[in-house]
Order: sequence, then structure tokens, then C-alpha cells
Amino acid sequence: MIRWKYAVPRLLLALVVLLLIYFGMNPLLRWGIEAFGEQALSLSVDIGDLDASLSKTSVHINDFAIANPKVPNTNLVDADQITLSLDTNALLRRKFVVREGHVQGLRLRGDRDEAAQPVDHWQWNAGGDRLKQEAERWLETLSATLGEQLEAEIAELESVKLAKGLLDSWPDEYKQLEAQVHAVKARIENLRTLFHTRPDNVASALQHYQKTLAELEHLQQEMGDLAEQIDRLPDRVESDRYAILAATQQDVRMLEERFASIRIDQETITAYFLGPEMGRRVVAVTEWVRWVRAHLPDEEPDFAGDRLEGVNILFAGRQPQPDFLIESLRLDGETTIDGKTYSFAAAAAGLTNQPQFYGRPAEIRAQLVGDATFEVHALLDRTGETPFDQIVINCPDLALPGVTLGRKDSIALSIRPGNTQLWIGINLSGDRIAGTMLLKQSGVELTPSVAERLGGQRLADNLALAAESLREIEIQVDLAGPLDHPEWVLRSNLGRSLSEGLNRAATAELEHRRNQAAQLVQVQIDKELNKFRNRLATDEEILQTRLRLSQSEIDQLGQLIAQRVPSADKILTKAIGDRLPLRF
Amino acid sequence: MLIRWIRPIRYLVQGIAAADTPRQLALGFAIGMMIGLAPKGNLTAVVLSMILLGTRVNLATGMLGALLFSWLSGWTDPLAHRIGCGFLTHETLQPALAWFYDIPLVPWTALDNTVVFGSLMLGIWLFWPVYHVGNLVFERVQPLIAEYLKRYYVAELLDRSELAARWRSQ
Repeated sequence: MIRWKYAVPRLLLALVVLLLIYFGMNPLLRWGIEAFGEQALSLSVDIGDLDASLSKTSVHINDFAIANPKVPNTNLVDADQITLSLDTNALLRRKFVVREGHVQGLRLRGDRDEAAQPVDHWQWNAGGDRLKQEAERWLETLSATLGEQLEAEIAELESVKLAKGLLDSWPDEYKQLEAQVHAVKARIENLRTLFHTRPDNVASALQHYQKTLAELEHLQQEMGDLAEQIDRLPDRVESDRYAILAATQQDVRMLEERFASIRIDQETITAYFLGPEMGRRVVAVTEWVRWVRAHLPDEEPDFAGDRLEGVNILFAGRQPQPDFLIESLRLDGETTIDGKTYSFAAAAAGLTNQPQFYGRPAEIRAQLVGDATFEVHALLDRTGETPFDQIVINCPDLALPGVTLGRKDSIALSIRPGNTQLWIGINLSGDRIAGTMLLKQSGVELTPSVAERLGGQRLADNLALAAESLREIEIQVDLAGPLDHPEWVLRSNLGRSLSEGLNRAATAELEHRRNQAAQLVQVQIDKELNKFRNRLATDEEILQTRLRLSQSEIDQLGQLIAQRVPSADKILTKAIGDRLPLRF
Repeated sequence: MLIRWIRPIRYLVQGIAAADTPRQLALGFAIGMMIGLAPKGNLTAVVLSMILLGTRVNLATGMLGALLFSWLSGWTDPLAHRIGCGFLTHETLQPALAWFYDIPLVPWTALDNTVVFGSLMLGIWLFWPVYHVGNLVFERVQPLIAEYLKRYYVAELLDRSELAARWRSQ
């Protein structure tokens, strides 16, 4: 017999419990998901409406949103509807396995804008700055070389200085020679006066003639030396000319070396033109990867309370299974990238909180369609000790606006792009990144412009000639290193072609300037030497004329002395015998 | 609000005073002890709670036992872990445990957890001593408390207080 007094309250209590489960399950589950999401992602998770069915073991969520912590009043992710079909068998065994999931009306907001703004400027400090500065230096050197006044510089060359020195030092030398000629002339006058002076007696006459003859002999010797000195003047000019020629050759070599050293490599020119543009893209990609990595749970969140958690024992012969697994999930919705709206469809598989138990990497495939089409394939492998992620993005028809690379006040390159293909492949192993970004533009038109001070239209035309055949630009960026501060290397056929063009243009320009410089040196030296030769010839003529006059005066004086010497000879022979031989 | 606080005290007082036997009081306390020792949030705790609710035992002493041993569980958990670990990792038991754990709904009991299993074992082991001691204590204490309550009209006061609170809430 049933004891109703005992049974009814218990049955009522059981009914209340069942009703509580039935009506309270949805709010409880909603609260659980929100709390779990907030604890796991550190982001505010909101659910508008949740309907869980025990009979179908499915969950239907409306108006799901994860708040954007950086921008108030915006969501990072939100979805209109989420439907998850759970595996009943797994659920009975305390495992949440989503056999099939479908997320509709998914929207991603703001994340692209944030990623486009770099948190720091590591890449400019890493390598971009150095190459950019090299390019700037090259342009400045080229500008200075092309723009400087060669005439002023050539005037300071050693060879030209030597040539000028000849002319500058000649007046002093000429004055010395002239003074010597004047001195000779004065002495001739003195000798003449001495000769016409009559001695008082025989003894003094003898002494007088001896002195006169000695002076005459000395004068004749000095005249001969002076004549020789004046005769040698043209020879000296010749030897100086050789010294000047040697200095000229050295100066020209120096000029050639200086011009030859002005060359720019393709790496530098690539960095100059493409560094800032590609740097921004590298920053965006790296920031995005860092964001994704930061928001991927590396390990199960720790919900340890005050009590000891204990250890879950895996019984022999049983394989560990993840507590939460999404086997298949379809997503569709829209997102905004650089202010443009893209619709997307994605499929994810193998999403789990315990990938080490699942043993396979999570895989995500997505396609974004808008102004361009993006195909994304990501493998997120957390099965090993080191997390490994592989992300491949392919955009076969990226629409890029025309862009001006470089600087308009120096050298700039306007690009009118045709079709653009972007491919990004990134591997993340632990905290290290390695990857490649390829940008291929076909059907491009390049228009270079060069500031007037750097060569202006002539150099721009040369560059345009070099870039004329370039209708396809390939840019490759290789990334490697720690995720926080990766190193990146930029390669491009644009840099190669432009560096060739620039070097060719610069070489032609510099060759012209070099020849001009050599010619200027030669002209300057010839001019100085001719001036010197002319001056020398005139002065030499004057000196020689004067010298010749002095010589004729000496000759006349010598003849006079010779006429008087026989009587004197007789006097002396009488007085002193043969002790004083006189010869003329 | 007031009703929520008064009612359990009234149940406890009524239960101890006369409504239930010392055996029912002791059984409630022993089951409450098992609930208190076991970690919550699993089917084991739910089943134990349902046993408490679904059997003719005193709910008040059950809740008292659950509260008391929940507080004590901080000290008993290490012991429970060692018991559970020794039992669950025993080689000869592995096939049986694996089979048992593969039964649907069983994983929700969390009995593969060393603390949960150890707490359950500890609770079962302590069940008889706690029940026996509780029975002896309640046999002696119940008449004294009943006499005291009757003398000072405490039970009547609690009844009236609950009645007054109910009117106020309406």
C-alpha cells in the first residue's frame, strides 16, 4: 500500500526539480557559456537568447556577441544565429562534441582597423630605416655631385695649383735676374770709371791695372753665368710641365674614383621605394597574426576553486577524448576590411579545448568576397609541445589604388596598377614566425619623377626608359624571427630594374661630368702654362737684350784696356821683370 | 526573505523535538555528511542529494551534516585524493572501472576523479560510525531538547514567526 503522506511531497519535490531543470536549463546554460567565455577569452560575451533541447541535444543561440575591449560600444565578433548539434552519445559520457555547427550572420568589426595601426615601429628600426637612409645618402651624394660647381673644385686641384704657382713665382725670379743684370751694368760703369782714372805713379798704375783686369775677368764670368741662367729658363718650364702633367693624371684619377663610387644597389632602391608601403602591410599582417595567436587558448583555463581538484584517471585501454570538440562548423557573415564590406563563408573543423587528446590540428577554411576575393586556410596545431600554426592567404584579384612610392621632393614613382595578386604564407612555431608575402602586379604603368636639384627631367627620362619594359612588379617579403620583433627582407624586380636604370642614368651623367672635369683641368693647366710661357719669353728677351748690351760694353771696355796694356807691359817689364803675366 | 531563514530552523527544531525518530535524524546527518564531503557539480553529488530528499530521513540534520562536512572537506580532500588514487589506479580494477565508466551517464558522476571517488569512499566508510554515533546522541539529546522547547514555547514562537512573515510577504 502506498503511503501517500510520504510519497506525495517527494513526488512533488521531484516534479519541481524536473521543472527547474526544464525551465532553468536555458538560463543556466546561457550564464555558463557567458561566464566560461569571459573567463577563457577575457572578453565580455553576451547571448541574446538561448534554446537548448535535451531531446535533440542541440543548442540554438540568437544574438551572440563578444565585445571589443579596445573600442567601446563595438563588438569584436557578433552573430545572428548559432546552431550546434551535439553528439548525444558523447554528451552522455560527459563530452561536448559538436557534430555540426552553423554560425549565421557573423560579423567581425574593427579588428582590421586596429591591425592596420602598428603597436610599435619595430620594422623601421630593424632594417627599413638603414636602407632608407642609404638611399637618402645616395640621392644626396648624387645630388651634390651633379649639382656642384666643378670649375670651383678644379681650381683647387693640385695640378692646376702647380701651373698657377709657376706664374705666381715668376715675377720674383724675374726681379732677381733683373737685379743681377742691373748689378752687372753698374759694375761695368764702375770698371769704366776705374779704367779712366790715371794712376799717380808707376807702382800705383800697376796696382790699378791689376785691379781693373781682375774686375773685368770677374764680370765676364758673371755675365757668362747669367747668360747661362737665362738660357736655361725654357728647360725649367719643360720640367715643371712634366710635374704638372703627373699631378693632372693623379687629379683626374681621383675624380674618376669619386664618380665611380656613386652606385646604388637594388636592395637599397627596393627599400626606398617599397619599404614604407610594404612595411605597413607587414605590420598589419604581423599584428593580425599576433592578435590571433594572443586570442587562441594555449591551454585549458584553470578554474580551480578553493578545494583540491584531484586527478582524472584514464583507465587502462581507454583513449583520452577532449571535453569539448567541434567536429564541423560552418560560418557565414560579413566583415569590414579597410572600410570595405566583405561577405564570407568559412568552415572549421577540429576545434577543441584539448587538442593534445584530439591528436589532429584544427583546420579553418574561409573565403571572403567583396571588392576582392580572399581565400584563407589555417592549420592550428596544438597537439605537440610547441604550438604550430600555418596560415595561408591568397587573394587573386586584389584591387589596389594607384600609389606614389618614394618622395616627391626627391625621387618618386607613380604606379598605376593593373591586376594584383597577393599571397601570404606564414608558419608560427612557438613564438617564432617564418613566412613569405608575395605581391604580384601585372599591367602596371610606372611614371618616375625626379626633383630638379637631383637631375630633373633628364634623369626622370632615363628612369622612365629603364622602367618602360617593366609591366609586372613582383614583391616578396620574407619574415623570420620572434613574433614580437621579426626581421624582414624585401625583394622586388622593381628595385632591380630601377636600380639599373638609376645607376645607368647616374653613370651616364657622371661620365659626362667626369670628362668635363678632365677637360676643364687640361684647359686650365694649358691656359696657365701658356700665360707663363708668354711671360717668360718676353721677360727672357728683355733680360737677354739687357745682358747683350752689358756684354758689348764689357767688350768695348776690354778692347780699350787691351790697347793700353802694351805700354803698361813695358813699364811693368822694366820694373818687375816677368813676374806678372797678363793675358786677354 | 525572513521565511527562508526561519523555516530550516523550524524544521530542525521540529525534527529534533518530536517529528522524526533519532534513527531518521542520524540517517539524515550521515547522508548529509556524504554530500558535504563530495565535490559538487557532478552526478554523484546530485544522486546523494536525491537520496537525502527521496528517503524518509530528516532533511534538517541532513543539511546540517552537509554544511558541517563541506567546511571540513578542505582538510579531508588530500586524504580522499590518496584513497581515490590508490583505488582508481589499482591494476586489477582497471577493466571493471573502464567498463563501468563507459556506461552512459556514468562519466557525469566524475567518479574517475580521485577526490570525488575518494570522498565517496570516505563517506561510505564513515557512514556507519557517523550514523551510530548520531543515533546515540540524538536518542539522548532529543527528549531534552523537546522538553526545553515545550517549556519555553520556542517551537510555537518559530511557528508564529513564520506565519507572521508569510502574511507580511503576502
